Amino acid sequence: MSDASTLERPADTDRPAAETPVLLGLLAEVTHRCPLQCPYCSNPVALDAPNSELSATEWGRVFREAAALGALQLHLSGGEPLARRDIVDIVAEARAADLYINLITAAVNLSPERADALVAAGVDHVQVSLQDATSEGCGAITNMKGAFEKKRAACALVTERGLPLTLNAVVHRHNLDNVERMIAIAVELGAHRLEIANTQYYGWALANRAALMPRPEQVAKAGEIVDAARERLRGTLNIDYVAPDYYARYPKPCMGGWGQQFLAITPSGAVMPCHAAASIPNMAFDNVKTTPLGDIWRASEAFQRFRGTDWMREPCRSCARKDEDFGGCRCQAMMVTGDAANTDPVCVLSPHRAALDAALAEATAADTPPAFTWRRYAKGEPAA
Amino acid sequence: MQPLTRNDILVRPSWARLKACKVRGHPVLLVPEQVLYPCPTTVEVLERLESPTLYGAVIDALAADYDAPADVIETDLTPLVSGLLEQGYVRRIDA
Ligand code: SF4
Ligand code: SF4
Repeated sequence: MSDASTLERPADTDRPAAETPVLLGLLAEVTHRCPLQCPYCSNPVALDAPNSELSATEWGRVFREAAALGALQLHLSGGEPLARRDIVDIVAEARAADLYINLITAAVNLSPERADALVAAGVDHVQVSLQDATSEGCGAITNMKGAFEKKRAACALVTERGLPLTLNAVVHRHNLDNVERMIAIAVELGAHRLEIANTQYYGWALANRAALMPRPEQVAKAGEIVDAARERLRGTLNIDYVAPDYYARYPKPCMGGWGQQFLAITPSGAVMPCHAAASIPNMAFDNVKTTPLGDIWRASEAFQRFRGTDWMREPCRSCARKDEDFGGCRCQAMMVTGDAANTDPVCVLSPHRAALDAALAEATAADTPPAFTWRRYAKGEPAA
Repeated sequence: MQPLTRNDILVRPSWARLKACKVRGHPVLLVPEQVLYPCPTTVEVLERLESPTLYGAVIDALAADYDAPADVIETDLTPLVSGLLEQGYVRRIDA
């Protein structure tokens, strides 16, 4: 059967240009607390304090407002969402809003009882992070001994309850050589999907870039392994592979376009067009504690600033790919070029590509990379 | 994959959620990391597989609805349902 004849992906942007886009999904970062300390954490370096977190009831209101804007998929994340004692209540609120619930967890503190309660409350799909393919590797990256074994046990709890399981592996210089073993683990644990994503360099990962940037030969080999495994495991395991963008010629599309399909909400209720947007310094984010989500989605300055293509400068403005990649990542443009409105420096057409190549050359030159700094809660700034 | 027969018992897993989306004005199928727009025939099949059901009963029900011979419906339906099975959005249950 041809996939397209019966099941099509929605084209939510098929609408008159002046209308507000229909929201497709939201990322709810319900807490920044996490028992692990991954050095590439996508949380901002200044973390929200636990006492500023939205309550389960507040999340419920936000979920209903998101559903009214068209949201279908909810990604419940953090930090570690299971660090919230009331995570089951949050899930129940999401289910009452009829959202499809993806729980994204490090899974080092999932008991059978909690797994039962989460399933009963309505979780649809669980994504577990896999930091490496061995116990030592996983311990070294997360700074937690035994994390690997706990994750494996949690994965079994998920699949035993009939829920689909995705393993999320963020790859970098220290674990990219272990991709084959990660694939074997995913098969062994009965995962439906394995997502292998090269580190995106913002937040904590940017501070650790020299320690994490893979070498070219690692990148090439991993690509070959993934291609072969996809072929071999068709129908058993879906493998999504996100290639490292510093090695690409063109940037990745910014999640379906800025303010086109997604929004992200921080633990304390700030609403952002993407989870990394806090790295853009002069951007203010409205908060669901004071403003209805619909108003934020339709009219807030943060969403309007890079919505559509009118804001673009050259070379994006006259580029044929602009509706495909939306000029790449605003956050990366900010971090590497100092201006979020510039073309993503990954693009070969960007005048800043040379700066990125220099960083790449420097980071991959050393035979032994520098040690990385773990993400820590208390102090904020990574010491890189 | 084993070819599909009228005697197969099929079910849609609870995580493959069919929903009438009011904002978009048509049904959507929600699965991990994806939102899919099923065609009207797929919707009819998925609606009938909320609990374990004989594939033959699905064929007969559609044949009655469309006032068409069951074998014609089966010929049309089998590639569609086989595709759903392959993607895991419908499961075969051992009798
Ligand atoms: S701006 Fe960058 S980090 Fe943010 S969603 Fe777009 S691509 Fe992702
Ligand atoms: S110039 Fe802009 S739109 Fe064109 S490929 Fe590069 S980033 Fe994309």
